[in-house]
Amino acid sequence: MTGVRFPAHKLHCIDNEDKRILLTATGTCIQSLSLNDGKCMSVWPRSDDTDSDDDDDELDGRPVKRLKLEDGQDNFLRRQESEGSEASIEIKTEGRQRQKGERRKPKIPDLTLPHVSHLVTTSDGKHAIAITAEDKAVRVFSVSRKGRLRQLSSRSMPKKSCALTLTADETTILIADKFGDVYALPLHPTAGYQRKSETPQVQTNFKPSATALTVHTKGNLEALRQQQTQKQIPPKKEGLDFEHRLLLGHVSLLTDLAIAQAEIQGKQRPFILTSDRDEHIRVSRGIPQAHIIHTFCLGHTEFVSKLCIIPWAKNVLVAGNGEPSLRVYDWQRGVETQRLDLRETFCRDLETCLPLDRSIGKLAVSGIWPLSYNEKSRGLLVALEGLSLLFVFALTRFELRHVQTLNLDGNALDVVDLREQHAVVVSIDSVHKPCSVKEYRDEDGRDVDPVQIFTLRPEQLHEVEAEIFGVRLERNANLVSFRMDGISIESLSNKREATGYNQDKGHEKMYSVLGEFIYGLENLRKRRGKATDEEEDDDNDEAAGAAEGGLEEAPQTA
Amino acid sequence: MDWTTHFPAFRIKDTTSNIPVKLTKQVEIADIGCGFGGLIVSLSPLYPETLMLGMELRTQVTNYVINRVAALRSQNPLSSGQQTIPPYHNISAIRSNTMKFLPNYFRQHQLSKIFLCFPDPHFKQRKHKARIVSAQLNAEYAYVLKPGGKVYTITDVEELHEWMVKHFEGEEAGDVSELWERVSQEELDADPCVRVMSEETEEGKKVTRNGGTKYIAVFRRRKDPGWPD
Ligand SMILES: C[S@@+](CC[C@H](N)C(=O)[O-])C[C@H]1O[C@@H](n2cnc3c(N)ncnc32)[C@H](O)[C@@H]1O
Repeated sequence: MTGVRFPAHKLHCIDNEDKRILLTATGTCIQSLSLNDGKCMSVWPRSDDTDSDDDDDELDGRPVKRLKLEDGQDNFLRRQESEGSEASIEIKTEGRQRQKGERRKPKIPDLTLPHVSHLVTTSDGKHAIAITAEDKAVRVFSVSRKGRLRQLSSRSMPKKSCALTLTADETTILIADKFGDVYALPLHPTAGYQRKSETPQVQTNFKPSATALTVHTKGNLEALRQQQTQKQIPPKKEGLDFEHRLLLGHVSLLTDLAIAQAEIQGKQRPFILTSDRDEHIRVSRGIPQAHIIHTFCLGHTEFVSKLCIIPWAKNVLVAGNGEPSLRVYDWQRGVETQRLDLRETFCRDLETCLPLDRSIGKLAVSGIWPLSYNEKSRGLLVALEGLSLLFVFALTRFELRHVQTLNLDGNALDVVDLREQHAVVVSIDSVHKPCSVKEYRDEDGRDVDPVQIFTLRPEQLHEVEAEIFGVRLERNANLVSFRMDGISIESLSNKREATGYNQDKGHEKMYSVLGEFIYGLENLRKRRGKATDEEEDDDNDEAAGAAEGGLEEAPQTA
Repeated sequence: MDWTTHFPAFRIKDTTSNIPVKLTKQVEIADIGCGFGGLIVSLSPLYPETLMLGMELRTQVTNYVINRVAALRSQNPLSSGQQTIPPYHNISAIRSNTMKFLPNYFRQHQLSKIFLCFPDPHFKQRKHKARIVSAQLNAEYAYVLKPGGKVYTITDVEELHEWMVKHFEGEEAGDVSELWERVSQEELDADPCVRVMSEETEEGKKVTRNGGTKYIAVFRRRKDPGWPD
């Protein structure tokens, strides 16, 4: 596996006048690639932490803390050198010209490094925010003009994060986690923050929650017995040592998170949208009123996987799920305006690109990306997990129309659009065979470009029917050719469960080890033992837990 | 959600085709974790015109309630000449995990009362997330309750009682506490629902038999606050 390199599973783009950078999450690294010439400008974590050659120009006048990165973060390349194995690689990232077809050995990162699972930037391009999976850390970086990432802070969350976004004013990070909670963190940790209970915990003397009188069921008795065997109530788990706020929670794994705005009584008001494994989309008021639920957007019969608020039609929400279908909502009213069964819509395309190792019923929407170049050239790109296709849609008011299907050299992973160039950058899975999430390519197949570029087709305005503003795209290999550093996927080998969603015991493995990390949506699908009514699942352990103190026998009288 | 099968006595009949379309009213009272249904059975004759739904996680227990209601209905049949609907036609039960699916059954501000009677205590710390009362869930109770509506809680576990109070209007509730106010003792004394939930629920009877203490707390849902300035 040492020869296999990570694809760019997450992309983010900074495209300002003086800073044109494509950030890519590749395994344990974040690479900064120049949008001008495609060169790799910098890789985080770095071997050296000297800033001498760097430009600290844009740090908001904030004092630059010369944080020494934690151990393991800055040893990245040094270790490889000392390993001296044949896998060690050239260290210079710049000025290298690779001949087409020439294959280099990928770098093997420090195997203890955590993997980058989420990546966003502030719109001014000054900061990048990433989540690393194994240590559940939210890391905030400054991004220099030369693409250098310097870590400003790292905060470890209590639970594995599932989605990350910023509030509209970009001062607050929102994080949705696997336990169903959404937390708000200030972009920069508040200096001098004190944990709520800073005083050492006084050991509370044991006081049973129940007496023999209150207990009358088997479950209660057992719980009481357990309590009594405890000498003391264990001190409460320590809180987080940075400022954070629990905004809201579902009793379900959260799958996505989005912010939105709507006019309420003449004023623009913020909202937070959250989607979960149990088919819900909740619309809550924004901070500081996220505990007030505005409405729900319901109707899905499988887990909701993606939320997309349409930037040019802010009252429209497009949600994708594991049916797989796309649902369009007037989210403010919680009203569904369109339901598009993707198996029907794409049946032609799927025939030619049938998933190799999955049935059509086991597909889920893995990405929805809005594209807007001008008033007449707008559309949505949609990806299904583990398919080497991208679907282009036009949107009229509250309706989607499928206008084009793009064939990719590998499964679609992430998309960013370059507005100025009228282009989109698509990262693809260069490791698995197209349309597989399990089988690796042969060695020859791995040379595909992990990033592909498409540009607007010039004739599109004539082609799209009246009233429908859409985009059509075509492959464009000339715009810029990105030269990413190859990072070996070796680091995944010991971290299976830490990187994917729950590894399901007893179930046939859906994904390869890499697939478990870059995909994983199928782990959200419920295995319904029997056909139960619309939405219930019987197999969770809550059911077992709930019976804990429950009634044991039927009452005498009916 | 088709409610007409649950409350056929309250169907609106399409006079031309005789096809039932919907109900004359919607469910207003929910008993969450209803167990064997003692509460709704006793409340039914008190509020014969109000639709009530017991919600229960365990399938067999739910079926027991459904059969129990069917038996009671057949003892109190609808007759065509009658002006009023006899009792038990206004109650029904459904199997559901309410911690996940409450908003699938009720619209915003639909309910006037929610009962949480003798909920499972989940003593262990690690299990507290499984408790039916939490700041997060209270936001959902507030969503389905109309302003002025009430959540009734009763338990024989003092610690759970304190937990529930804390999570509705105390320090653990966070911002959601602004949506709730505790109902006064005088008001509880005058409320027949309070007597029913402590005396007519199966758990309530057991606690009485064992001479245990019952802790009661009722919370009124306030109006949503305006948007901040
Ligand atoms: C101790 S019993 C109380 C029954 C009844 N309320 C009474 O007072 O007699 C608690 C009941 O709540 C049910 N329950 C627990 N969690 C639930 C959930 N998430 N949704 C619906 N019912 C639940 C249990 O199955 C059990 O029947």
